[in-house]
Amino acid sequence: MLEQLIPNVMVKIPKLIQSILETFQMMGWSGSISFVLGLFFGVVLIVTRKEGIMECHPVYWVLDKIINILRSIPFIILVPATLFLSRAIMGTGIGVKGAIIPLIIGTVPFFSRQIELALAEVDGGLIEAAQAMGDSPLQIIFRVYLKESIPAIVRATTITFISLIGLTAMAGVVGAGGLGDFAIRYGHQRSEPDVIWVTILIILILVTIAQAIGDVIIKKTTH
Amino acid sequence: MIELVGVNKTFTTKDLNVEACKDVNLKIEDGDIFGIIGFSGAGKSTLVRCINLLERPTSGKVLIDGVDITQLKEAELRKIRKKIGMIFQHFNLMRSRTVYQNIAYPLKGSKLTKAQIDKKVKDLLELVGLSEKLNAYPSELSGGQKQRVAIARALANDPKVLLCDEATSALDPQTTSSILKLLKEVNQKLGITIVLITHEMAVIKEICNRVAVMELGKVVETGNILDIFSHPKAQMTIDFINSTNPITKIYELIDNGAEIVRLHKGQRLLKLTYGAEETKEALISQLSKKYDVVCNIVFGNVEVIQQAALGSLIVMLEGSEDAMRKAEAELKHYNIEVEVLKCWNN
Repeated sequence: MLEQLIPNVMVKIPKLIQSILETFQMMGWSGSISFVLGLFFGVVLIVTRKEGIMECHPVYWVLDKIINILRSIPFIILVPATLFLSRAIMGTGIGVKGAIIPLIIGTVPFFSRQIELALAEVDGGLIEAAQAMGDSPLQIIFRVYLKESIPAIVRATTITFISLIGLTAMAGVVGAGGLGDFAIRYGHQRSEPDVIWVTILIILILVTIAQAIGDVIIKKTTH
Repeated sequence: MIELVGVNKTFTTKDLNVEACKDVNLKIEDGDIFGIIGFSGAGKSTLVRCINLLERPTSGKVLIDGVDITQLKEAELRKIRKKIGMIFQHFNLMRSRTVYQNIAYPLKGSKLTKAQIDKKVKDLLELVGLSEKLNAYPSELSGGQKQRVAIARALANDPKVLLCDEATSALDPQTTSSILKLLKEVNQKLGITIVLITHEMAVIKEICNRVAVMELGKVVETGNILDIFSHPKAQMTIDFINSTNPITKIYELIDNGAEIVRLHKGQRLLKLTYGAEETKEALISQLSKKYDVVCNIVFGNVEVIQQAALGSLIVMLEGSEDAMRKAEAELKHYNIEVEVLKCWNN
């Protein structure tokens, strides 16, 4: 039955699976690196801002501006613009390897902002209480800011993860492969609409799973 | 002992400077329950934060057991802070942690073993009367229970001092009095010095032994609570005391010409204020016998402060001019403040 419904997909099953794997690879690498970097820069933003626990205006100002600039560049332009970086760091500008740098640069600024917002929700009174108990700034970061805003951080992570799925599809332009590339190459350029629909369905499932996992963690960690 | 010497704190914003504390000098002895009272904006919150340097004074010294902590390095200051507990108006408990974990929070990184921490937390929970709430989250507790957890947390490191920043202001009167009782217990059982700030004279009256009155960043009066209540000097202090004393209603009644203060021939209305020593004498009945004056108590109020009674009475005297003058002289002789509110005149 599937042969009749989605004939063009059925003849490309190995290609489809490979595309899914490529998407997973891109998501895995760029996602985890972006998570760490975004968390780091988000924390730096929150502690160095005005009235922050390690207030430092120059650091905040520079970071804030860099994030704004990077966020205003459309991803489709960011990919060729960072080609030189990919070549320098990854040794290649194409394929999954070539897509990771632009994906990170496209994700980290967005995620840092999301983390900054999440941490800003932590009640100032808690920070004050922790200081009064003799906590060091580093202890306050880990034991109050990060621990107390786990639900908000998970929410930010879910949103970012979903937008990252979108970015990986665009990364197809550098020959990174993945589901986006699969849909454009076969579905669009060869006019095989069933390929597009199946790809959409798979991405939809990925997004739903990501959202569901996020929701469960948020529910478990909110008291 | 905590000593503030010439403490100033100025907040500078773009357009103006706010002097939250102006040349504050205070001495808080070990074992005191020291109250700082003032209206909102008087600078009392800032002042209490200067004691553990959550706010750094613009100038002045903060001496704790003789050490000026404004001169300490960050790491040393953090050590001192562990010995100064603090509780807040809005409790500031960690929402993601249970009651147990909140109380154990300040013990992480201490030298205690897990078993010792466990015992400590459970002992503290028992002290604040919340043993059964061990695994509850703050969101499942009432305001009073949250403050009890906060007190337990503040006591975890065996502090010598407990700072209370409007600790009862978000609580209803009954809960307030149960929290104050707990604080008093903490003071007496554990010998912890308590510094509490509030805008309610009733709180001061209930547990403090010494008080400082603040107005516009300045301490306008300091002293033993009994002295302050019996002989207030600053207008701000008088206002605060009157805010809890129903006797001040008499002025309103006189202004309105109320029935109970209407005088007949040979009557006059007096306000008598007396302190701890005089309350033991049967003065009113003595007066009637000795001088042939009729003494009618219109109304009165007795405050019990630190187990001493402070009273004020509104009294209507009736008798001959001469007898009344003698009676008044007798009262004054016993150190009773006599204020003639109203005399009969044609």
